[in-house]
Amino acid sequence: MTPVDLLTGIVNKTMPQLNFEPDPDFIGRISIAEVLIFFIILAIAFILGKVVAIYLKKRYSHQMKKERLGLLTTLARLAIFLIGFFIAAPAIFETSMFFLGLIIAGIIVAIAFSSAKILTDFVAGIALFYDHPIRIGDFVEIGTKSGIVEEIRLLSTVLRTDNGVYVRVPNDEIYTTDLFNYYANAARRYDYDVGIRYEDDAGKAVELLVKLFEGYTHILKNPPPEVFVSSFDSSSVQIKFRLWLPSIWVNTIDGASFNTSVLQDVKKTLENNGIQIAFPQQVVWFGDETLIKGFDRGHL
Amino acid sequence: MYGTYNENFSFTGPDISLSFSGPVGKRRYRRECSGKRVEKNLASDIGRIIINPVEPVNLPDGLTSHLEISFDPVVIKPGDEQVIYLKFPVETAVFLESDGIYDVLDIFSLIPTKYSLYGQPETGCITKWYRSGVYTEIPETDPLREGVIELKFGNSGSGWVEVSRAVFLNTDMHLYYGDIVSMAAVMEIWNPKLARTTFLRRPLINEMTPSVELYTATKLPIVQHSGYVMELGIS
Repeated sequence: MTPVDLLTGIVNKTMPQLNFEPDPDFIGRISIAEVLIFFIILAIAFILGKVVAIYLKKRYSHQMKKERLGLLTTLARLAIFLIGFFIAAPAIFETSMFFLGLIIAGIIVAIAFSSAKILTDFVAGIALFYDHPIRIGDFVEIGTKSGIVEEIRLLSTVLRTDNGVYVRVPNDEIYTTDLFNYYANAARRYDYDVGIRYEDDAGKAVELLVKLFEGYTHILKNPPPEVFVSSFDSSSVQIKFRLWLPSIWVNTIDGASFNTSVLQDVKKTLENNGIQIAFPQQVVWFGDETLIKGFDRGHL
Repeated sequence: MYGTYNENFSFTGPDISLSFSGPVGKRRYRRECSGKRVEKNLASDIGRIIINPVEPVNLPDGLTSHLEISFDPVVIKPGDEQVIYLKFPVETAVFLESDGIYDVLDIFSLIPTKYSLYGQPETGCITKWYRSGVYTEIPETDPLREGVIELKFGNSGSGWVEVSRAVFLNTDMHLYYGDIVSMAAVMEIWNPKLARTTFLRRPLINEMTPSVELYTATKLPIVQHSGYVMELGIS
């Protein structure tokens, strides 16, 4: 039994008034003209879809994000092609729209059972269109994968990792795992700690660092850098500094080298002004000095 | 230094040297400023060379389209209009032009850059930040370093407002050069948190030349903006 026979049987059983009868000579009665009409209509729908996609891109490329526009044009083309198919199909299949609808519904149900994952990815792709938690060019971390978003498709999203690897992430995964978008906000804060010796002037160290950070192009003027004494450790006075940087810059080559350069500059600035970075040390006090002397002389 | 050149030339000023040298087809562009040197070989007949100030948001790495000028607070009463002059950092572009087609050869600035955030991290935008004094007349400037922007405030709100910063969008800017580099802008203030900045297409003094605008020259697609709405505060 073919799927068409099966569907016809179901329809006749549930809706006998429609009275669909399987036609064994169905293929033999299709003329070349009908086949041609079928494919011409599909071709027109395909071309029309392309034209509409180009129009949408021209019309909205400056008003919509690239990934949203991409999804919109894909959906528009898909919709136009499906409409074309529904118009073309009766010419060749000699049957009603209702029956075609049933066939498509059956196909969708079959896909849903056999490949639910594809459907969930598709739905997630549509959700991305409206929710847009990520955009093309964003640096994101999805589960264990991280990289720059290169493309957002209906079923998957393409990332380019730091070391240039192409990674395809199913859209469903974006919604079911932890997502970190490092570009979603305009600025990001970076926190650092430096420990100086107890005998050094902590106030002077704070002043020096504030002045140092003013000279950095990418350390934002607002919110201003915060520099303050954060704690007293066993062998150092801890100074914390919080710096805000443009998110979009942080993952560039210059941004990536910022961490090392700022720490080097902090050390150099403090040392040039007589302030030393503390190292772990302990002062040991002995209660009995005579015993120490005896020990020193090796008399014990 | 600003102007249009049809043949080789060189310019040397404080902190900058710039030159085009060599025969047609083998010309060499050299620029040195702020400790950086740029050298380029120009294999084709380059046509005209245009050097002029451009929208000051491109350097060092084009992170933003917004210029933010911070200044001492100016207080304006309801219904009043005031004109002040501010300074802004100049960025200079070197264009090659042939048959109406422009190419940007170089962009440089003699003023250090600082970025800032206008608004909150989650809703705000990165701006190129500059601190200016407030002047009631056109201040003296070195046109290679600083330009002058005439800012006309109009308070259409119902209360007094205090303004201490202005944020502008680059696609709306119109620059002119001569003895000074200038722009003219308007800030319509609707309330203490909301205002709109727009640029006027006019020079501040006579005999100024309009700059080749970077976004027009490079045919970058832009949406026609009617200014920038400062909805994240004006002070």
